[in-house]
Amino acid sequence: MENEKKMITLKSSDDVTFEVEEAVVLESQFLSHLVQDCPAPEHKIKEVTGKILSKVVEYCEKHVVVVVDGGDSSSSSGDDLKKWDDKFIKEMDLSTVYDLIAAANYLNIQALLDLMCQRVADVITACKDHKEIRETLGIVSDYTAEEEAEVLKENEWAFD
Amino acid sequence: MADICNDVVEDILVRLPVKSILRFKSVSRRWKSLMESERFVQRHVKNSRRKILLALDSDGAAPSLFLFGEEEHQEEEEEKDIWYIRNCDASIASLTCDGLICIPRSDSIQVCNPATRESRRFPPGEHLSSSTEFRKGKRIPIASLVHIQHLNNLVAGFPTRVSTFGFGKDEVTGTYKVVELRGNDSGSNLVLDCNVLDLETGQWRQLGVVPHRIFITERSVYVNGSVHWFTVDLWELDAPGIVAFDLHTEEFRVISYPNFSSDAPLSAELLSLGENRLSVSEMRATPDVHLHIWTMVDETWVKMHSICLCRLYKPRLGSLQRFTPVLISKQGDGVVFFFLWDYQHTLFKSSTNTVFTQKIYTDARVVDSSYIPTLVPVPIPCCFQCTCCMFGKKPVEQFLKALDELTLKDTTNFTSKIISKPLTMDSFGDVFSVPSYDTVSSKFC
Repeated sequence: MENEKKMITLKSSDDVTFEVEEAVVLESQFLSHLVQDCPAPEHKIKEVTGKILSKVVEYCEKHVVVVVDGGDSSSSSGDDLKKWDDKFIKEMDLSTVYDLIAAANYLNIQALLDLMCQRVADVITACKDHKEIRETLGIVSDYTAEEEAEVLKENEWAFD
Repeated sequence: MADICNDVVEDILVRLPVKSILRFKSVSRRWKSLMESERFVQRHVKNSRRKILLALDSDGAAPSLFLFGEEEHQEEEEEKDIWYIRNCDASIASLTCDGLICIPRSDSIQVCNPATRESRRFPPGEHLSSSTEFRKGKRIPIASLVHIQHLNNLVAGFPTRVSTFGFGKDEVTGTYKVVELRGNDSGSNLVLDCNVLDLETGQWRQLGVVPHRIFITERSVYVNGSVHWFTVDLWELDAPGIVAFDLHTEEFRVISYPNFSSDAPLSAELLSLGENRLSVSEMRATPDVHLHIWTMVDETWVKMHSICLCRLYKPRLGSLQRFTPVLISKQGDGVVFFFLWDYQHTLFKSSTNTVFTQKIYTDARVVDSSYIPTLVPVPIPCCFQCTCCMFGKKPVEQFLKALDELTLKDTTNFTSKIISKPLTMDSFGDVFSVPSYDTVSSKFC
């Protein structure tokens, strides 16, 4: 198995190419089906930009290596991976996180999606009120002033 | 965020704690409607981590409540949100399901969700009984709520006509139900008949005589759509030992006790240790004192753990020391046990990786060993019999009752009032602007 690794080329919407091992591609449900169904050497992913695809590839490469190495799944490699994940998301701004969520959703990479969703959830939990969330996440409220007051009043105690 | 599809937004929001969800309903309509959907509530239940809800006695004052997590570095956090529960004596209850806590009281059945601070009272089971003296001065037996010792001789002193309760969810329809197994008047310690309260309708139904021998002091455990009790047979070494009441079919079925041998265990308890599985913990003295934990996996009993209690267990005269597993979790390659010792209500932590057993609390009571703060709403019954006034609006039932109470005289009085006035098309005054029949009908042609 070791001697011959099958390489696959992924091409982003803006024509940036990434050459990766097949095992890395298999992290994505979407891509693994794609590779099985059409065995071309190059696959274009129209929905994902080069910047985001590079992040996706980085994540998948890291995770695939650990799974292969840690056949006995020692806890230290699990801890290392968690540390790596933390660092990976810490360096990212929210718009990249959104793009990665969309990409992970499209490419069907559950672990990456979970990681990113948890990151947004942490950002939300850290906010003190709805105004801060709207500001941070760029959400436009569709409430009228009265409606908003009513919803706020209903759950007033949760703001203690 | 606007361009992310609802599924993903939901993926993000189900990870939030209950309080954040309540707080952030005000972000947008989209968030509110997502957060209030039944699908979201159920996903949130599955996503939440179970914790031990612990009541710690303080001198004279109401016990303080703590949530105790299984994560490695997480110590206890005092649950200020749950202060609310204190007002309803839940510190002695253990009837819980999906974050709802059921507290049978002498005058009502209270169901509350401490995480959302919602609470509602339901009629007590006794209203089925025509006997008024039964109603008078009846107190909910604490014995049916807290862990008590399973020794026959201890049961004898309890008052007659008490009940043991069960609480859980009909997995097929999603309705929550309360089961009451009532004792009889003859002074026996066994339950007599079974009644079920459906929280969706607020109605009790009589199911008749219980075909099994269950002590009125027995504590129930809800797992996976059924409420479970030990039967008396267990203590008399006579199979099968466990009875399950299916909340959907409303029928009893028997389950055999996991480990039959020639002698009875020192003590045994039914447990739910998460993962929707029934467990039994039993203490045996031979060869030396061990706690054995059996779990039902695919209809068969599997012995999951054996914990040596030799260092802790010291036989005392005349009393049995009972150890109750509260939470078992895997940490790395070891297993960590939390268990409660009824001597001084001490909570211990013990791990397979170390020989030490760590004492965490004394004077502790476990309200729920697998509590999850959830958004599950306390059901509002469609027809409320006795506590409707709490809602501001009156139920259909009451309206129909009022109709039945009308007499011929009422009708005559009312009619004579109507015909004594000049006839108008509208009973409220101004009749000049009422359009003629032709003008109205022409608009619809």
